[in-house]
Amino acid sequence: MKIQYLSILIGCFCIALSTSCKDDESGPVGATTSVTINFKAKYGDEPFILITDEFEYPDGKMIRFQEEFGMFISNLELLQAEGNDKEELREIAYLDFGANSSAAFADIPQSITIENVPVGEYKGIKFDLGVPSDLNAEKPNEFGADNPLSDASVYWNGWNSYTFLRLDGCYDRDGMGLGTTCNTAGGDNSTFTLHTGGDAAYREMSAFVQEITLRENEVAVFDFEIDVATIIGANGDLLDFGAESSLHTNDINSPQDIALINELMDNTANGAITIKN
Amino acid sequence: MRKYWLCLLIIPFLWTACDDDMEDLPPPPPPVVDADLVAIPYNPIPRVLVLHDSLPQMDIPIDNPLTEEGIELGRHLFFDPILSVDSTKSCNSCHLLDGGLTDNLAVSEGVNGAVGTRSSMSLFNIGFAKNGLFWDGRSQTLEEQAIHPINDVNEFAENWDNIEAKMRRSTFYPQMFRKAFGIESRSEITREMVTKAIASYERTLILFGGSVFDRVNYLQEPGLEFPDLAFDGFSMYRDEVSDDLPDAECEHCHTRPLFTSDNYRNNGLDAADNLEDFDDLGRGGFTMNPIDNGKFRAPTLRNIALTAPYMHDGRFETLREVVEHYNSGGHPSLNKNTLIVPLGLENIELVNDKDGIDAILAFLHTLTDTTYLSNPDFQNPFEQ
Repeated sequence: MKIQYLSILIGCFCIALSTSCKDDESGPVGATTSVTINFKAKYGDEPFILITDEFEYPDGKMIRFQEEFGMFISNLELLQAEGNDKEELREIAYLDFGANSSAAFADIPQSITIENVPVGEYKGIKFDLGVPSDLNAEKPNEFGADNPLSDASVYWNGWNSYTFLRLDGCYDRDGMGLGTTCNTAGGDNSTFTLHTGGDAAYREMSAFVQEITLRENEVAVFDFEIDVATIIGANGDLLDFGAESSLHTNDINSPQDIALINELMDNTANGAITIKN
Repeated sequence: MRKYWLCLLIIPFLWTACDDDMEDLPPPPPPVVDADLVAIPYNPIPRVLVLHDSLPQMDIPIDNPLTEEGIELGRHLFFDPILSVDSTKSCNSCHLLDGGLTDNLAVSEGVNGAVGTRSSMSLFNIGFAKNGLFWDGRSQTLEEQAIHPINDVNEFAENWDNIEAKMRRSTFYPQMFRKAFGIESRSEITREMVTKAIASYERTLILFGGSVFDRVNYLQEPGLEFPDLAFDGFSMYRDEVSDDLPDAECEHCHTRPLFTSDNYRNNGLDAADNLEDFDDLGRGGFTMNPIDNGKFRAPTLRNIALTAPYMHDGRFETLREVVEHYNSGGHPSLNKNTLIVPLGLENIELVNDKDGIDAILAFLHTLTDTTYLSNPDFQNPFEQ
């Protein structure tokens, strides 16, 4: 009789143990998986291609992107399905679309992969635009070589700030075509070098709602698109590319540059980035 | 049978001929046997680089930690022409101390007078580079970079099998490899050890603190100030926004404190109708991405006054020509950097009838630091 009781007891213990180890379908407690976040750049519905492609700006003039399109995103986190808890993914990342020389290159996403993310139910993903003030107070020499903030080329000493967003190109000011005459003496086109930075340019962004179950041994993928057309011309509010032969946001103390920087950051944070899956 | 007789006749002559030559040479050193290597202690002393707070962190590979013995071996290899096929060229041949670690030639000369297509780059602070080496960035690490000049017919024209053989039969290198890498037998000397040692030495080629710029800006020496003209130049260089002085757009590519952004740019040197229309594809020749064609690495400006001629092909003989080029806005091409624009520096009126170009030049001269010339750690060990 005692043996029967003991067997029942052991049976109950095993059931309890197995239940506690598998609290849902995503995997045992403590299990983790990988999360990949992809970003592709577009200009409206077209792939964002540097140099070789020209795009029509809403004012009817042609525009070409020259060398750099990149931005810092920060505080990447997954929002847990229940409550307000978050799973921190990555403190800082730099998205660099400087290799987009063709549709094929543009189709290769800027990809961020985070390992060892706890499995379970999540209701969304969130990140901000720019470099948070505590990190922005540091200089590139404060960071190890594997940190994107160690890159001195994306830090502007004059601002004591990283450049949060970088976009440059050429604008057909006279409407006669772009050719190769951008920013050359006697040329009729104008260039733009849009750099944003300074703590005031940082933008907290709304979460992207996306219910997802992270399962053990299954890589979770989030696909985002960044629309450059929205960044430089959201809601028909166009930038005056033709006002100067070389538009360069280089003064975070000038009202004109501050207004332009704010516009670019607002456009990027509010509508330029969309989730696709 | 007749052939054998012929050989017997020739051999004495050969023998005699060899004997004559040998009499002119010093007696060969006693051979070092492997047992001697094991007897040599292997206790490498770590070298901790003491860097000013303003400098970035240096990424030292885990598999090639800095040691005193590795650096010393690297210094010997750097200065030793044994690495070239005819023992006429060393790393130092193209990276001379007097030339600010360049050779002051438009394009470098290798063995037998062979010339390449590009100018030698300064090695100062090269250990901080993290976005590729050479003008086109084709090597990611100093260890990888050191492989290439050996095989290049326009440089050392040697091959690595021979280098390993030379190292193994040397009278002193096996002992140095023992001390640096703990080998027990000279046969264990490898090309990887050679490149690691050279890379270790190159990581010590740090230039900081001796220039007027560093002494004023970083070390803040009491009583020391920029000359007025140089200060105006600095204001334009760093784009200190001013109603009086224009932005010379320099620092975007030549970023403090290293005065390089580690990036590759088309700085408008040549007109090009399309992306294939460059004589030297530069970065694009390595990445195979056409938008990189015509782009070259932005070199450091530290000691730039010592490293003429300028650009990847040495086309500009003076620093003034360089500044005038940038002031002009360069030549048109599809992927020219958007900040290479006409600057109008010649229209800026400054003290003593100087203009904006003069001011930029004055500033660039504040980056000259010759203290390294007396640094014993940078000297040729075979002459010490």
